[in-house]
Amino acid sequence: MKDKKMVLYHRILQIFILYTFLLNINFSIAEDNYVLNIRVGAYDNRPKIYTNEFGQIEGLFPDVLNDIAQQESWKINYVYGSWNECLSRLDNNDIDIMVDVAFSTDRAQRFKFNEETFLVNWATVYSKNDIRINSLIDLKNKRIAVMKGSIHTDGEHGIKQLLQQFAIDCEFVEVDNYKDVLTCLSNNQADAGVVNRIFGSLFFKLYDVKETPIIFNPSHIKFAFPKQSSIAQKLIDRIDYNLAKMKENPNSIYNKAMYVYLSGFPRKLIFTKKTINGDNVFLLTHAEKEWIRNHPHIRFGVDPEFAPFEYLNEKNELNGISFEYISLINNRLGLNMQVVKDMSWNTVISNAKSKKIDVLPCVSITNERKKFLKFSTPYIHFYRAIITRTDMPFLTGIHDIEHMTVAVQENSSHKDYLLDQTSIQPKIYQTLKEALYATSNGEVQAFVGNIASAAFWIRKLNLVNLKIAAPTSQEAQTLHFAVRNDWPELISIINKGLSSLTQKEERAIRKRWVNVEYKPGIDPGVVWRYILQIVGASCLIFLLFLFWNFRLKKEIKKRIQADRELNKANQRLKKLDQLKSMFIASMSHELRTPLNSIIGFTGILLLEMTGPLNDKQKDHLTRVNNSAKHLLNLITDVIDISKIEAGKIDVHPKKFMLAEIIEEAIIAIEPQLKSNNLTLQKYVPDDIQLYTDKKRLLQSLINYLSNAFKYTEKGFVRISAELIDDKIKVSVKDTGIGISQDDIPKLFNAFERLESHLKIKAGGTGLGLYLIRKLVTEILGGEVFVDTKIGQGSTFGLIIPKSISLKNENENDNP
Amino acid sequence: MKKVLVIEDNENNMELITFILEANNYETIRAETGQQGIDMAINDRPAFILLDIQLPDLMGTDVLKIIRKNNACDKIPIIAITSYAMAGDREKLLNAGCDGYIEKPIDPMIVMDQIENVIHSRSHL
Repeated sequence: MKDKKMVLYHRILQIFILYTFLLNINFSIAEDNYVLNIRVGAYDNRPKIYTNEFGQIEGLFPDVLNDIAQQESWKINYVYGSWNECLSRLDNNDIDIMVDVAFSTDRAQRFKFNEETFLVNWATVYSKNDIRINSLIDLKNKRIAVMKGSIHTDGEHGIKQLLQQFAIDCEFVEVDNYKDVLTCLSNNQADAGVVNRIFGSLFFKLYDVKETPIIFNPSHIKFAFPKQSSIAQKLIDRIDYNLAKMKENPNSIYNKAMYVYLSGFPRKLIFTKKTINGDNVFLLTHAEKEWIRNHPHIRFGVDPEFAPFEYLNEKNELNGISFEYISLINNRLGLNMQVVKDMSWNTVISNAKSKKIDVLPCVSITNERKKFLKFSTPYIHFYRAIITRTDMPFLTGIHDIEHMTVAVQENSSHKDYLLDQTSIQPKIYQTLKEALYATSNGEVQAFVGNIASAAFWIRKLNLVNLKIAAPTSQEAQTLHFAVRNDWPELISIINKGLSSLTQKEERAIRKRWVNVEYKPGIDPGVVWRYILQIVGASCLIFLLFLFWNFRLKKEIKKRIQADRELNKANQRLKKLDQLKSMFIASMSHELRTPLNSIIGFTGILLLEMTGPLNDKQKDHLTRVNNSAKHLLNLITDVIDISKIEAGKIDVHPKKFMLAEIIEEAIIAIEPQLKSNNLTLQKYVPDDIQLYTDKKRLLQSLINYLSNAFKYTEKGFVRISAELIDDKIKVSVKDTGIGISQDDIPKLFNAFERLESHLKIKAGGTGLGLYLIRKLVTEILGGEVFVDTKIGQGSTFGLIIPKSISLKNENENDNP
Repeated sequence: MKKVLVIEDNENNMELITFILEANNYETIRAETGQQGIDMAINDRPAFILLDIQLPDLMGTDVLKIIRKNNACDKIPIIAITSYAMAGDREKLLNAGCDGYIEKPIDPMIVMDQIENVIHSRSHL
C-alpha cells in the first residue's frame, strides 16, 4: 500500500511542477510579446496637444495617453506633423492612433473610433465687452469673426449653417485662427466671434471679450485608428477601459489634467501629489517669472482721494482696498509695484498715457482708457450712484437727472459714462472733493460717482445736506487693475495673483474698508423710519383728539349742568312772575274796592244828596274825599308801574286822531282847568292820525297837563303837537315856576317830588313823571323830554312813533 | 218811574249806586248774584240793567250772553260796571252785548251823566 501512495504523491508533484514551469514560460513569453510599440500622431493644438520648449510632446491627450501606456506597458512614439498630415498618416496606417479627433459619421467611414469620449468640445460665441448678445437672434446684422476651415464655421452644424436655418443675416469675417478671432473683437473689427470652448475658456481674459451663452455644434472628441490596423481593436479596448476608470477617479491624471489645462494652471500641478481644489493655487510660468525679473520696479499711480479704494492719508501714506490687494499680490508673485506719490489724478492719467506710469490699480473700464491700457479681471465692484442734496425730490435713476446740472470728476469712468451713455453734459471738477462741495452748496443739482467713495467723503467732510439719491442702474460697476497696453504679460500675472486670493481674505479686506453697503432698492431702514414717523404722528394726532374729546365732554357736562340750573331758575322766575301777576290782579281789585266806597259816599255826601252840610262838614268831608282820591291814584300808579316792571302791560294799539285824544285829555283835566285862572292854548293839527296805545298816551298827556296846571300860578298852559318824519312830538308848555338845572336829572325818577311852595298843594304821588317815562319808552316806543328854566316855566313832552311797532302789540287785539 | 236792575255783589257799591239812582228818580231792583240777576231780568223787565262784572257765581260776560239770548229781556240796555284793572275785557264786554260801561270808582258827580249818555244813545238805535 505504501508504494501506491508514494507513487501517487510523486505523480501529483511532477504535474504540479510542470504546470508552474509551463506557466512561467508562458508568462515570460507573454511578457516579451506584450510590450507594444505604438506610433501616435502629434500636432499643435495647445492645450490638447503641443510641443513644449524642450521638444517634448505635452498636453491633455499626451499626458493621459502616457498614463494609459504606462498601465498597459505600451511604448509611445509620437510622430509630429500638421493636422492634415496626421490624418493622412492615419489613412495609410503609418500611425496607430490619432488624438483629438472629433467624431463624425463621415470620419467613422474613414477611421475607427474608440467608444469613450475623451471630451466634449463645442463652439462658443464670444462678443465684444460692450455689447449684449444673449441669443442667436442678437447676432442679426452683426459682424462675426470665424476661423477658416473650422467645423464650427463651415460644418454641417457650424455657425453659417445655423444662422441660415434661423434666417438670421449677418456678416462673416474670416480669419486664420482662434487667436485672430478674439483679436478681431478686441479691435472692433467684429462684434462677435466663434471659437471652441477650450480655447475660449483659456484665453478670453487676454482679450477684451466676454463669453455669450450661445454654444453650438458639440463634438465628441475621441481617438481615431486606421481602419486596416490589426491592433486597433486591442488599443480601443484598452483605451476605453482605462479611460472609463480614469474618468471616475477624481484624482486621476485625466481629471487633474482636464482641470489644469482648461483653467490655465501650470502643467506641473497634474503630477503633484496635491489634490487640486483651486484655493491658493497659482504658479507662474517660466516666461512670466522671467518677465518679473526683468521688471524689478513697476510704477503705479492712484487717485489720492478715491477713498476707500485708494487714497493717501494724512501722513501721505497709501491706503485703501486696492492697496491691500497690491500688497498681497506683490508678496505672492514677487512683484514690486510701488506707488508714485504727489500726483493729481489727472497727472496720473496723462502719465499712464505716456507710459510714465505702468499700472493703475483701481479703475473701471472705459473706451477712452482701452486705448492705452489693458485690464485685469475685476476684483472689486461698486455701484455708480447719483448724489443730491437732501432737499431734492425722490429720484429713481439716471433719467430723472437728465435735465439737471450734474457734476462729475475729471478722468473718472463716470464722466465717460455720462458722456457716452446719457444726454447729460456734466460740469467737470478736477477732484472728487470739489465735485461733492459743488453739489452741497448748490452749484450743481446732482453728482454722479462711485457710491463708496462718495459716501466716504460725504462723511469725512460732514456734508450733511447730501444724500445718495439713487443708483444709475441696478448693475454693479467693476474695478480692475489696468496695465499699459504694451505689457500684456503683466495682466496675466496680475490675474493669477488676483485668483490666488481666497474668499476669506477678500471678505476681510472688504470688511475693513467698506462699511457702506449699498443695496439697490429702498433701504428698509428708511422705509421703517417713514413708517415709524407716520405712525408716531398719527398716534400723536389720535392722542390729541382723545384729549380734546375728553375736554369737550367735560365742557358739555358742565354746560348741561348749567343749563339745568338755568332751567330751574327760569321756572322759579316764571312762578314768581305768575305770583306777581296774581298779586297785581288781586291787589288792584282788592285795594280799590274799599276806596270806591270811600270816594263814592263822601262824594254823595258832598253833593248834599243826603242832606245839607255845614261848612265844617263840607270841609272835612272834602279832605276825606281828596285823600281817598289821592290814595286811589297812588294805588293805580303803583299797580301800573309794577305791571310795566313785570312786563305785563298789554299794548292795545288803536287808530285814532291826535286831535281826539287831545280833546279827551283836556276834558279829563277840566276840573283843574276851571279852578285856575289859567288859559289853555291848543296848537294841535287836525289831520294827524295815530296808531298806538290810546289809553297809555292819554294817561301820559293827562299827567303832563295836570302837572302843568299844578305848578303854574299865572299865565297859560299850551299843548302843541307836530309831526317829525314818522314821529309825533307833543309838548306841554307852562309858565310855571320852572325847575332848576340840578333837579332835572331827578325829574323822571320814582317818588321824586321837588321842593317848592306848591308841592303840598299839588298833591300827586311822585310817580307821575316816572310812570310817563315808563309808558312812553317801554310801551309807546318813544322818549320823553323836558326843557325848563327856573322861574321861567317848563316844557314837558314826548316823541313817539306815529305807528307803533308790531312787537309791542298784543296779538289778541283786533281794532 | 223807570225800573233799574242793579246786579252787584258788593254791599257798599250796591248802596252807592242805588242811592244815586234813587236820588235821580229811578226805582231800583237789586240782585246779588248773576243768576238772580238773570231771573230778575227775565221776570221784572227793567228799563235797563247795571251789571257788575265781578260776580261771585258767573262771569259777567256769561250773564250778558244769557240775558241777551232770552227773548224776554234781550232788548234791555245793559251797562257794565268795570274796574280799572280789567282793561282788555272792555272790548270783550262790548262784543258780548253790553251797551256801555262805567268805571269804578264811581264818581257820584258824573255817573248819572254817564249812564244817561249810554241810555240815550242806545235808544236811538
